[in-house]
Amino acid sequence: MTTHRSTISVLRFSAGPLRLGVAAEDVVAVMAARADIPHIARLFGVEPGRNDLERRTIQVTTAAEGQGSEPCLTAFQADFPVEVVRCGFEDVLPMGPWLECGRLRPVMGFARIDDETLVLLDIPSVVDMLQKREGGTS
Amino acid sequence: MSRANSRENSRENSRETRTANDELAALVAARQQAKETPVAATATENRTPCLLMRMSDRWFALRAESVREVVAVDSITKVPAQQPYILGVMLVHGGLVPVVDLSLLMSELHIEFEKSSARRLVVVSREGVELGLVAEDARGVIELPPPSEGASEPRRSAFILGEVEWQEHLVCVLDVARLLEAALGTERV
Repeated sequence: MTTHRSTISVLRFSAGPLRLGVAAEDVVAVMAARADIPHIARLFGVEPGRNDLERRTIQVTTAAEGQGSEPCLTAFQADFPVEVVRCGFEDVLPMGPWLECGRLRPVMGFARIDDETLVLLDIPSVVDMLQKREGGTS
Repeated sequence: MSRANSRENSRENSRETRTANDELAALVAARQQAKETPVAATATENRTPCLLMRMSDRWFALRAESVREVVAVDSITKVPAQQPYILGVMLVHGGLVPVVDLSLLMSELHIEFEKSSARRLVVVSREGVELGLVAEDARGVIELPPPSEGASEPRRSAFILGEVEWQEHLVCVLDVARLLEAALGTERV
């Protein structure tokens, strides 16, 4: 029987018109924006927020894939507000068959937090997209 | 004998000189026959209950049995890395429904729509897969005859069954199963 935590911390942030969230425990750092880091909004084909001052760089990590390999560290820019929220079992929204079949990668699901529907991102998929993006700029 | 011959002659004459009364009787008989004919009954039975929805100046019909409900458009959450016609997802009675803009889906067929603002979400469902179609207007269930093959849309997609006339409008009849397949790729589920 699979057990799950009753609540988990989620780092909530914006990417232009998108409201996104990732597992906060896989976030290594939230720093001031750096121009050489790609913006996650562009990764998804949308325009970032206009205010550069409200951007942050989020550094995330993925687990090491095999014995002896190092965890992968990657960073992306995101728009304000960047904050940690609690996501409970009841906050996670049930998904229909279309949303369950993996077609939405890097979207792992959705959560309803503070009357807002957040898109929960799968960090390894985001890292994979960032790594495949060659010559990407913010 | 001669009287019988006389009656026969009289009938022959009346067959030759068809009166207005005969014409009227024939008309009444033909009308009666048409009323009772099974062909007419079949035509009535072939009418399908459909829900009508409007996007811009175009009307669409969906089989009523495929429509789960019609709700007001609320907050649509954009989902990254999706086709342009998928506007996002909307929370409907605690469950998420992918929201599709038919005008954007059909623009891939080079069918143009005037700019419009959607106020209704028509939620269609088939085999557990749901999809919300944004609409400016939605009408209750109306019985429509079978659609004819529309010649006006030469590049029409497989999810367009054909067209029917309704109150001086040309209504495009959609096949929900094929629409789900085109919009969400349900054949791969």
